[in-house]
Amino acid sequence: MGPLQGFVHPGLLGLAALAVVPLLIHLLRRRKPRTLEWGAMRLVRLAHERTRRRTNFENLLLLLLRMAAVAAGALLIARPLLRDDALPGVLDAPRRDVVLLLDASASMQQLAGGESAFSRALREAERELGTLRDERGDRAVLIVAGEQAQLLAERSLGEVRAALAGDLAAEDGTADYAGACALVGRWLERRSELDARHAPELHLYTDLQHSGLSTREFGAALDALAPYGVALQVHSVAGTERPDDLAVEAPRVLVPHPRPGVPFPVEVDVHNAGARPATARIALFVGGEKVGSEALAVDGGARTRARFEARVAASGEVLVEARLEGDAYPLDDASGSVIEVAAPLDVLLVSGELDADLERDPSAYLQAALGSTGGAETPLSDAALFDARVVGSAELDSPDVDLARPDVVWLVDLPSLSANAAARLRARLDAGAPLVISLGPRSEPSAWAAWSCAEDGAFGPQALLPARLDGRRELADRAPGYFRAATIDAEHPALSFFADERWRPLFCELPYRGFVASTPARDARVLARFDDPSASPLLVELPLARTSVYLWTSSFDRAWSRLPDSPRTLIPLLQEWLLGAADPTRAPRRAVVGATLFAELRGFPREPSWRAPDDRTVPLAGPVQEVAANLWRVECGERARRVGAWRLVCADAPPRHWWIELPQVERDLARIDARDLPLVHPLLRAAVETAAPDADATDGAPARHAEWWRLCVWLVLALLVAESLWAARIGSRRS
Amino acid sequence: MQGEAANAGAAPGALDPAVLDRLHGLELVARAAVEGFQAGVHRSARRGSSAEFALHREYVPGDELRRLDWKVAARLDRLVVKEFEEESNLDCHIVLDQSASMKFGSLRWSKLDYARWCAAALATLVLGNRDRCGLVLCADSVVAKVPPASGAAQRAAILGELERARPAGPTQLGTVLDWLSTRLRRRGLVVVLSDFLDEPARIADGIRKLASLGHEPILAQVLDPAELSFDYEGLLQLEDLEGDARVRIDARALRNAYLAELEAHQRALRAAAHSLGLDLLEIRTDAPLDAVLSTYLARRMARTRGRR
Repeated sequence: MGPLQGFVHPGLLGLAALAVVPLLIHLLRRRKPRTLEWGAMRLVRLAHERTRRRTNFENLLLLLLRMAAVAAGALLIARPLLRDDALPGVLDAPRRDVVLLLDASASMQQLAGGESAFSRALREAERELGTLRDERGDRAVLIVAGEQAQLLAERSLGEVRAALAGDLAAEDGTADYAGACALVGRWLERRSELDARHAPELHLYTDLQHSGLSTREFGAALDALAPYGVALQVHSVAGTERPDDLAVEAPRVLVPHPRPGVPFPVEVDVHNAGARPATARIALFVGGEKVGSEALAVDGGARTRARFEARVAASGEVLVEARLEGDAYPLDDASGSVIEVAAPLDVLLVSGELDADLERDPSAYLQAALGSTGGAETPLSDAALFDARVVGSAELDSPDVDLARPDVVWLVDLPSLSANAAARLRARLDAGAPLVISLGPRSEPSAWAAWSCAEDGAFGPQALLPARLDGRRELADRAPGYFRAATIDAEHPALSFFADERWRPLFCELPYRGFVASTPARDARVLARFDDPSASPLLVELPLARTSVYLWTSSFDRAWSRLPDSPRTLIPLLQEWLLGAADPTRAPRRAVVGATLFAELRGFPREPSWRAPDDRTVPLAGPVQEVAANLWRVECGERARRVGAWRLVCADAPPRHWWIELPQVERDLARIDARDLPLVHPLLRAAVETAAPDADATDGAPARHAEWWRLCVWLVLALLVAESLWAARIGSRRS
Repeated sequence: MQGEAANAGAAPGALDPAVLDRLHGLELVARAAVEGFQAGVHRSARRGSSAEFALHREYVPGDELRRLDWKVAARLDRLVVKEFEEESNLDCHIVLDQSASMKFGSLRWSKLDYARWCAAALATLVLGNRDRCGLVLCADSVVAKVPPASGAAQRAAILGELERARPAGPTQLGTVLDWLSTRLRRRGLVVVLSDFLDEPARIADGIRKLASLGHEPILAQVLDPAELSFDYEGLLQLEDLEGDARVRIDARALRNAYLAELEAHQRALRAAAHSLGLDLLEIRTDAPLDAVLSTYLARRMARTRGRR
């Protein structure tokens, strides 16, 4: 192959076809000359004979000059490339392709000397960019690895320069290194075969955060770049030592359900990630009001805890936020939790046999239990959480009983159910309201068959039970031993209270004398199982589209269980279970950066809008949609990319809060030693700070290709000047 | 060219009274002796032996003093010259080239139009002086002719023939002049009105032959201003008026070469005329006809008298 190696934009070579334009103009002019009858033709012929060849030559030369100028212009635009050694340096210089990759993760916001690591990364990148030359044909690509890697500029150095000088900032999430590498890969793919013959320079500006760089995804993405023969030069912009950093953990409310007007304790942990002891002052804010502050001393690598007492005046949700006096890494200096200060829950207990005697009617007993206080033996607060009332099963058929109003409907040991009542309850389920069914000695499994799930486990359109009842299992009165709960799903809100080892025995040691054996529906979740050989379900939940239906296979009276004798088990179980069941659609109010926020509200929200932590209004993702009867979904128009409290504000309802927290990997500022980078991945190299590469200092470097544009410019200029001079000469001679 | 045409004013008609009025009193004199005279100049024809008194007229500068009628002058207190009816001793042959090249004209009239007016004026002038005048229309050969004669009928015949003249055919003026030299029985003036765009050598041969036979040729070259300046722009396709030839040229590129060729042609013509002691009257069709003729005739008369 000759010195010409190809073109940067080979497609633009087609512009060379414009070179025929002067020829076409010439031919068009010749096609329709003015006709003139002439008398002195003998003289004309003599003159013509004498001048024809010369005139033709002059015109042809002019035409060729014009065509050549156009063709050379097209050549210039297509940017031909030559081998480095094909032209003397005065005509050209080697071209550089540089990829600038910026780590825009949260850890890049750490400060040093009043400047963030990301600002230093920008400065370093600008310095590298300054070594590139437009006139040499150098190219640069800017990729920012934030929560989602983005290719910000690739067309020209000016575009990259403008992007660097723009409003770039580190985000509050992790760095999508894998995505950035994928973008680099796609860019390398797009480069012409010619360009691919020499490796571009890849520069990564990062704080060398260990948890970010040493991910498996990043390694796999680097593996994908290996065939291109590139290496990633890693520039450390935040020093080599792990910085001192105090981080506050999410505040923990020590009661599961705080009540209005009742003080409740809140604990906050502070972690010193640095090696040296540090002191700090932490403050707690509840609903935006500061409730106290405390000075803390934390040893290096240790944790300490602050305890506050808070009080909320009214029911509803409230944001509890702990803030640490700022240090070099402000993102982990605040954390929050959204707690629900619940209003009394409306519980409708449907009794199989109404009786005022608590001993004979478990629904009456449950009503009493739901209205009771926990006393000093449990960590529960005193205010009433429930407003429970009891109706007979026959009343389910009556339209006087509004089944849509109660937050929870609980069928307590019903022998059977009328078809009408079953239909009304199913309609309630379909509307997204929860249903709790507890069995007992009165429950006749065969009578419930019509409302059970199908043989294949499907929850049919008429079903109410999340299981198929197989028959009673009862121990004789004097038989030794009991059934106990062997396994519990402590992740479920209903049983999470018992996840604590202190409280677990309260649930698992409670004896049962009987239950109804069941086969759970196909999609049902068994929250607790007995210790019988069949591991029969005790508590089953079937999550539906907008709610759940629960089945308690034993009883709540003394006939089958000792629950009435164990309020320390019964009360937290009921409270957690029913409170969770009443609002199963509630989205978690704490998420990490990058989460998509949405709320599902009962009642149409008026003028909803989302607010970011900086009080910026974020548009909705779309119109408010009714996802179930009177249940409206409002989705945030952008992902939550900033740490802090996000709010959904409606005109006719109190705001709802979400706390967006820093990803766990961004809390750990441990760094990789630059010398160990090749151990993380062979393509990673610590950048060596050297002077800007010189165009002439290419000895021993891999073969590069020089753009021919400077020669082309000279060529076009020379042709244009020659054309002008020649045209002027012809014009003056002929005039 | 269009501007020149516009400035040229109205076309001088064939027998425009204004033109004739301006030519009044001028003569087309012969420099050499012509048939019917022993010697001297053409003016001697007015003294012929058979002369009869015709009329008195006003003296004009240049009239011979001896022709003054002193008696009448004393009675009228003004100078009066006696004129006589007499037979002419001058034959004037007007040869008009009506070849196709004479069709060219960048003005509202062609070269042929202009030459026709010129011929008519000269014929009127000659016949007005009671000389004999004839007309030959030619292209590559003689197309029509009016033998020399005098009188009003002759004038009508000449003008009629001029009216009928149409441009056609190639120019072969040399051949025509050759032929003419064999046909003219009496020596006289031969006024050739043409653009003389034929080969100069052939034209010179014909003229030389006429001159050798005792005729006095007067060469009046009628050219259009566009032919003299070639002031065109752009690409032109020139179509030969006298043939099928077509030439596609770049006007600006050809102009200088054309003008050089024209200058060489003119130089050759002038040289040929000069060698024979003849007049070559170069006439532009945008020049006023009366001014051209009066200037030439006056100069010619003065020259003739000076020689005498």
